[in-house]
Amino acid sequence: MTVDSLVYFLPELVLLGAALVVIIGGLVLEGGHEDRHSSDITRLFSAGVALVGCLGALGALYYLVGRTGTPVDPLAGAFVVDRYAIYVKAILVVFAIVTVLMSYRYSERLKPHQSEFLGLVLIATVGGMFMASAREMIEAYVALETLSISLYVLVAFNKADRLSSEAGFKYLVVGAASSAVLLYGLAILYGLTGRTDLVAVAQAVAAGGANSPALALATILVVGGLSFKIGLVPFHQWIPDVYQGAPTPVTAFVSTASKAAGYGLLIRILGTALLPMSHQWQIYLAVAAAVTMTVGNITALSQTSVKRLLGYSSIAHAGYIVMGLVAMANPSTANLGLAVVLFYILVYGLNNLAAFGAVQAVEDTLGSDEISALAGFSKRSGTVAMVLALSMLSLTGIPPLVGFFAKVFVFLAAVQAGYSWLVLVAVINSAVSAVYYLKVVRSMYSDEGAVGRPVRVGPALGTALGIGVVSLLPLVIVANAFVDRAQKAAETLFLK
Amino acid sequence: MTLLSLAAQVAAAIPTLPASPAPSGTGSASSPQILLSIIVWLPLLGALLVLFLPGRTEADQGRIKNAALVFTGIPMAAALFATISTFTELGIAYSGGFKFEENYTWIGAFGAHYHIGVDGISLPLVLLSTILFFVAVLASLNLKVRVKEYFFLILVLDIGVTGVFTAMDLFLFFVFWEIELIPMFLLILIWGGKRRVYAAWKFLLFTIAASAILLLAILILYFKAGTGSFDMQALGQAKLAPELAATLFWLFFLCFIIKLPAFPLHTWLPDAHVEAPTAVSVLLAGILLKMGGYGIIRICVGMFQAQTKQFSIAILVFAVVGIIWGSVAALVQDDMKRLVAYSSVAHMGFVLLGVSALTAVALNGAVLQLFAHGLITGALFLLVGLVYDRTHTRSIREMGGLAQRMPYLAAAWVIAAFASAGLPGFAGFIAEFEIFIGSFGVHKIGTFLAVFGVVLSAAYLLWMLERVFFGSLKEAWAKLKDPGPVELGYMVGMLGVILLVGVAPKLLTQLINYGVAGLTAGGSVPANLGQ
Repeated sequence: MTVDSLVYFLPELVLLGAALVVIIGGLVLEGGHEDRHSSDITRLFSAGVALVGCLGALGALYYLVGRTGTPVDPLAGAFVVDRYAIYVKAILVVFAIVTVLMSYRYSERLKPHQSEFLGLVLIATVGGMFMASAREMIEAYVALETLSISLYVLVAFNKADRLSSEAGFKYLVVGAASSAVLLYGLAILYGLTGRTDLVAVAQAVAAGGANSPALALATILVVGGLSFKIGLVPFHQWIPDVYQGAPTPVTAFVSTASKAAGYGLLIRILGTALLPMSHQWQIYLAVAAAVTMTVGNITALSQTSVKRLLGYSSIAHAGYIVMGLVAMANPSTANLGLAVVLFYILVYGLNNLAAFGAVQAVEDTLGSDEISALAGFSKRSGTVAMVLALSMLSLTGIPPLVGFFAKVFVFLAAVQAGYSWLVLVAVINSAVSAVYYLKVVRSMYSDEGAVGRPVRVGPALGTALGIGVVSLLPLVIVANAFVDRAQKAAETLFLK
Repeated sequence: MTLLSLAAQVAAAIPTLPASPAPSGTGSASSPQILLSIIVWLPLLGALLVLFLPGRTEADQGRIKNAALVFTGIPMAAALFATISTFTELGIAYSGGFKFEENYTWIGAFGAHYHIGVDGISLPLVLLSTILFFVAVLASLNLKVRVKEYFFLILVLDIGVTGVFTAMDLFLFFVFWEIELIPMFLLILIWGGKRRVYAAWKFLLFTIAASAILLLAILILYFKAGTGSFDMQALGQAKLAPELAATLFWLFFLCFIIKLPAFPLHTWLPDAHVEAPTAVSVLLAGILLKMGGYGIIRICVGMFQAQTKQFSIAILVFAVVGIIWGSVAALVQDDMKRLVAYSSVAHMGFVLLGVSALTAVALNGAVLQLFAHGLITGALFLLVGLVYDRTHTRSIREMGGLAQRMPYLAAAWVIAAFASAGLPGFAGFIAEFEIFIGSFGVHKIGTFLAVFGVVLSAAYLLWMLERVFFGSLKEAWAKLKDPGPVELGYMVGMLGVILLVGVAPKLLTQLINYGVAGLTAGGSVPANLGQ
């Protein structure tokens, strides 16, 4: 590795630098003063640096797109910068930007720890970015832990709140358990092949014939361990509690960026090391997808808190997304399957960010996120109500909102891969999901509920909501461009 | 009969207009067309404008209303231009097929295209919807609550409806089809009457069920046809196994008769109509039901003609039961709006009758019926709304003698009711006449039974007129006044078009003939009627 190849780490380095500046600068600025003025300055400073860092990282990513043509081998192949990795990283950074904007007003109540909060968000993002590029077991694991440990802290950040602490603890326990499962799977893979490089593992597995029971066990363990991050059954129980208990910007981050990073690594491992085992994990994932979406949707029906409801909805959506991974296992639909998954992750993330942005505005006003408390909310703020309604409808998959396209693309890919039964399950699930998403809409537009003071949406949150919604509608028109890009990105992942 | 002679003069004048020097014809394929895109997407521009205009004060709301008028008025003018220019080219530069086509790749990975165009079947419906949206905005000018959201939703609805009538790609068709769902749901839910929550949810449930069936059918067709595209014409040519084609036919048919609606899937309609505000009822009956009829003609007849023939008797049963049931139910209603709603069920039965006969004349009548019913029922709902605005009741029993206080409104009512009852001289008569002529040779008993629907429609409409407008004036209504010039203006306009088409039906029937000829592949253009 030469100094030259450092350029491939530019996005991560920029973001990491921003994180350090935010944390240290915050400490200096805060300097033990307790007055409101210096706290406001700190807040402005941290958010500003974080945003500049994110934008810088995006710029660096854009610059790297031009350099993907030549074979890139920093860290002797352990760290890949291909179109796939850049796509995932760009999504991650965009999600991080929205999270930073969302937390601007929220972090007021976190003082004197506001800058640490943002610093952790940035470090978590860096961890996620490394996950997208990792093609070596140990590196992948360390990257995963970087993301996870930052999130354990973030989820429990609101120390005064019992729910937040409880959520943090649950997240830590389930996270540690699934981490152990993953590590066990990776250890078996290493034991069988003697390699930690994912490509070398794939070659060794393919050469040895993919029939050993130990190999099947390792596959299940690896996929199962990574299920934690994306919320696939049976590692999904943490989701509702964490979504409800964590500070809302953190919830938004967990449900979007952390998930995207989870898919980033899962896809990388499935597409390289475990590609010879695709028959095994295809069936496992198909069954897991069917169970996951059904469990998510049925449990969501009886929820009364919007954040919990969104938690179960995220479980259901994990099921839909995994359908694309199922399609990825067939050589003929591999690129398409991956492309629709990447598109879905982006769409789902933007949807959720808009939804959580609106939920936070609701919480700030009402101090509650109960569906019943939402009654008549449209009279208080037509904008917030419309944003929340649009995201709910998009999550349901009602055209012309972009959620519909993401869903239909996944369905089409799964049918082409020969999994019509899975699509049938998914269509029924989708219809069921309309009931609880629309429950939220119905409550907001009902007559009941007192007309209280109008909602105050700050500039940062407003921008976040704007990004969420504005990106929903025009995405439909450029859906083609995205799927095309994603297919190009997919081509770089699978080894010829 | 000055109006009649005027209409005849207009009718005589139009064909003699000089044919434009063939701007389209063969050259049309190369030059990009945007006329249809203007009709479909201009309302979106209007919707965004409305969204960003301030809406607090009365002056602001006035601006919003003006914007809505402009952004529904221009598409109406464009649709009128498209219709007239096509009419002048009939048999000269235009000899059937689709016009104003636009075709761009949309989602390449799945072969979905942005492909729109109109033929003799869809052009009248595009014209109808642009007219009714303009009228609906006119009829909503007095709105005071949540003005901004209301016109925003109306304009979004406009995109979906005109999109459905122009889409030539099934995926695009589905997307447009679904755009209608949420605006209509919210329009009923927010601005509706007392039981609006119930009505809106019932509407939503029926519509979502229909959409799920439609999506399923489209996906099965897409994969089984194996053409790798959603193009309607390509899919219509696909060779499918008979059982599969039959299944698909029924899936599509089921979806469309929920929308149409046909007995026994019509129960959402009376509730939705009664609770919806006047202008929304106009759109619901005038255009949204037509989406069902259009779907049947375009997809069931156009793409599954063998199956339509095979299941002709079943369709006939739906038609006749719908006609009789709707008419009998209308007879016993006390609520004026419910009465008109049930009459819609009956009138849409005639469309099904025309489809079941599957002759060119009957299909021509079915398309014309869609157009005529859209205007006539639109007018009836507007009239119900005008009466309700003044009396604050829709109960027929509570009214009586209103003609003494509101002569103009009563006159409009009588004309619209005659048109609805299918009296000669009105558009509805031509349509029903064509349907009967075309279907009698195929289904003698069915047609015979269906004719009773016309008799019944005369009965319930005249009986209602008598109880509402004539007889002795009740005390409570002594202070009523006729509606103002705006209301009378659009009523005269709509009734004028109904009369014009009734007197000079070839204005539309010729155009429709070309569309129908395209459907019944190889079929000849039937002889013109009503000349």
